[in-house]
Amino acid sequence: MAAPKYTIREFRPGDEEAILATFNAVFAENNPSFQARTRREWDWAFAHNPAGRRIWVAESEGVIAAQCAALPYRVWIDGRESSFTQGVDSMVHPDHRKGLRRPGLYVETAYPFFERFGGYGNDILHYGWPVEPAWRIGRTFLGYEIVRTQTLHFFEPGPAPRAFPREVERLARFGPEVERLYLRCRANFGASVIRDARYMNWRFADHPRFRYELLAVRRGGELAGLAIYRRADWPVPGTALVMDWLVPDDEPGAGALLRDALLARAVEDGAHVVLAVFPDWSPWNARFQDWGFRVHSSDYLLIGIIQDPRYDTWWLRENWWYQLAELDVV
Amino acid sequence: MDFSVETRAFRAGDERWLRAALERACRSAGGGPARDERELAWRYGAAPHGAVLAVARDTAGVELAGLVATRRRVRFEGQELFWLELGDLWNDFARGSGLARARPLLAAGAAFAEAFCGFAPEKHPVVYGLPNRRAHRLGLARLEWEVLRSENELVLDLAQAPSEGEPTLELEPVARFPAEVEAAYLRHAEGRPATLWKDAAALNGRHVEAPGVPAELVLARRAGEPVGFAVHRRGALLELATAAADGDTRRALVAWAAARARAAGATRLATVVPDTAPEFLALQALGFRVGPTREFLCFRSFQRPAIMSWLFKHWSYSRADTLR
Repeated sequence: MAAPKYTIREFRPGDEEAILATFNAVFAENNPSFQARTRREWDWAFAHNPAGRRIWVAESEGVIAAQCAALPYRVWIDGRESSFTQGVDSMVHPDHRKGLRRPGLYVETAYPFFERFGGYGNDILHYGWPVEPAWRIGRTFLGYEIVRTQTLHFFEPGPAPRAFPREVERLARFGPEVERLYLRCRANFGASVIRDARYMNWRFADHPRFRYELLAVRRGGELAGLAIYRRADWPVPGTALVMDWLVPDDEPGAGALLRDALLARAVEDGAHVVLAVFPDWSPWNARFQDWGFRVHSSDYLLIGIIQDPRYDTWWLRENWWYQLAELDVV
Repeated sequence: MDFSVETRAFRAGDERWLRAALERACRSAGGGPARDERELAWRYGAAPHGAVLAVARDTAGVELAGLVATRRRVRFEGQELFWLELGDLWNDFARGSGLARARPLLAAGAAFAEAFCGFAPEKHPVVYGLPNRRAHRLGLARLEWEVLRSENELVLDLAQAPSEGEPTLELEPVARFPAEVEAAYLRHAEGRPATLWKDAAALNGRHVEAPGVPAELVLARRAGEPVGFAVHRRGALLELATAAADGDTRRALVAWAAARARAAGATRLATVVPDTAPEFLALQALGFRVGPTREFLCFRSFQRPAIMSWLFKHWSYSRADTLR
């Protein structure tokens, strides 16, 4: 049989269904609990992302044989706007895994992706949270570097009911005030995803699969703090995730109310643990520990391909504010 | 730029040219801490199992670049072997221009790996260290290093220090560790696939004979048997060794170290353990908080199973296992 021929190219309209078909074939492998991705979900991630789209594919006779893709995010870094991307949905169709010799079809698809979107003046950082085997391929062929071996904050809330603070309100959607809150927080961030209403509504309110609770505290009518909650079975069954934490460092009172609200919701949902992620330089890293959270090891590596020589992993480790919100799978 | 590379064991007297070479490299990189011949002689010349080096010299014999590492005895899945703790890596960037400036270091790095690194027992299957930012960049890009961990620090506010432990436990401050400290180390090492081997020679070499502020040492005994030990210096808990399940001894040693830190005028007690070690959570339960460092623990492996994921999970180390 003749070896398949591949066209490696940027995404073009009309590829959507073929990409979905390959995605659902690849990620269903060895995963009995896999739920097929829908077109609505794909559109949310790639067509409606307010920061745009980053997709490169290898196509063979109408089949998407491999994909290198990322979700872009608008970021504020060092006093100016730029972009980071999160690598997602890396895949090679099962029928095409022997399609090209080393380095393989995925890496051959990734090279032009990074030529197109990387380099000075383009996306500053391409990041991901791979486990070790995927990290090894990326390090060998694509220049992945470890920004941080990720630790996680865990808290076991116990079964006893906890009062949901009356000062905490549930938002249906975000308005322009969320950006004002973000701007207060940003004063202490070297780099961060721009949390304006458009991004926040896309990421949380409009998510086609997951239901998030948007918890807020106000002072004088303005948002003084915000936490996003979701009950999930990741990384362990019965986990209450603190998806996003947007509380100015000088609002410990708002932080404490939001903590109480998160714990109350976790107990109500029957969650065994509450999980949060903080950059270790943030004051919230220490405050959550003071509140009884314990820091645990994880298998996740926060990795990056840094595409601007002004930055390195040391800088990112000490300056980048990120949350679980920046991880697409939750 | 012509140069040649020599690889050999570190010898007495090497500290003199090494200090000068490190200072030249430091100046060319824009500055850094001054180095001390006495410290270098202790770090490498007096290391219980010796030290090795690779050095690139120009045709006039001036040292341009190099690497120096201490041999560390390791208990690895019950077997004895040796790793290398890379203590210094330098390059005089004032010599040459452009990318060629790093050629002496790359050549020295390659020669170092060829001469000393590889399968045990003849060679050293793991090299590790805490590079500075410049060495980190060079090492990862050009010398095949990997990051093992973005290092955390565990810090205890001394106002929150635990009280003394059980009365049956005897804490014996010592000027030097006796030979029986190894029994306490072996209790600590039980169930830990990889640890640096801590007998009296290794511990005294690292802590008693070190120049500068003397360390304080304590041996814990229960019914006369050594069950743990600790080393403290100026608010740093350099060693803390107990069996993983022996929370009473751990608590007593932490209380001892906190008292010594307080007596030394410190307000906090800081230590380093891997986040995968049982002590990471146990120390948090004793009041330690996890905070950031500016350190990336880096390594290069030359023999399975000591690849990144294995070392990340299974190598249990102390703050003193890597000199800062």
